Amino acid sequence: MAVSRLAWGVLALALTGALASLLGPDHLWWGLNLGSLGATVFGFTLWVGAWLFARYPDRIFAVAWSIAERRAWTALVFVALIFLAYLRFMWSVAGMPEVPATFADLPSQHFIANLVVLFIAWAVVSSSIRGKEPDIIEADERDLRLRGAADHTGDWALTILVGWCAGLLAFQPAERLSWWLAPLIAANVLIGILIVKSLVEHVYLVGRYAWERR
Amino acid sequence: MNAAAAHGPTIVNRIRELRVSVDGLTQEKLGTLCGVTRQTIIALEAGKYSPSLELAFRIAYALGRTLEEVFQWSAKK
Repeated sequence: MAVSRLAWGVLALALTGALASLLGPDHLWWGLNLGSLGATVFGFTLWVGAWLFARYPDRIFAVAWSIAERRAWTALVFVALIFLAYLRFMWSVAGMPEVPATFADLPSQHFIANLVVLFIAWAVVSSSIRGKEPDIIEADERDLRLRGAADHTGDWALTILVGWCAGLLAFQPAERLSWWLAPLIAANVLIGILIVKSLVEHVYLVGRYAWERR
Repeated sequence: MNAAAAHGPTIVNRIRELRVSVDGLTQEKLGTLCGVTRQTIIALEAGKYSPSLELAFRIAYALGRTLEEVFQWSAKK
């Protein structure tokens, strides 16, 4: 088995929490606030997961996986979580009655807090993946070649996304166009494009690793 | 784009056959001798990766063979 049941369990719980916080930020479900509950579950599993990675790295990943492949999987999970946090943030921005004029108008406190937590957890997990062996090879020429191919795929994804955005803007009605072109909205859309580019890169990278191991 | 990238690896190798003929030479050990991971040796033996010229020389040296004894190029299209 490539990834242990424990890791899949933690991942599933974290994703369920993230989805609950994304889909139900202000909705009550049987008297429970799904958004708060989801955020709590997500935060708890994230730190439990980071601790498990740091304590038992070989129980999370199969021994047959190289360090670079483990890092690629870790990056994919964290970029996916960052993308979910971004979607939740943009969802709340889209629901604002007026176009935000200044940074202070944006409901960005939770998003920034989520990003800080995710980046810290990512750094903890990533540094623990290497283990304690002094002479371990972290990446060799095959890893670098796969990384290069993933970067190339990411560049294509970026080109397509920018073209798609340009097309979308071209066909927007005038009253909606002013919303899209508000500086803070445009800036956040550009950040979203970069997150999606990174997501495509990492999906490609773990896909190539999986294919070469078949 | 090189031929390997366009049509899959056209460089075939006898790494596995030669490695098992050397007593106690595991994939892990060969990888360490050549400065690559065990996973790269697995990919090479499975024919899913074509090495750089430098790595090919390192592998041949570690196996005590010439480059031509370990690697052959096939003109597959």
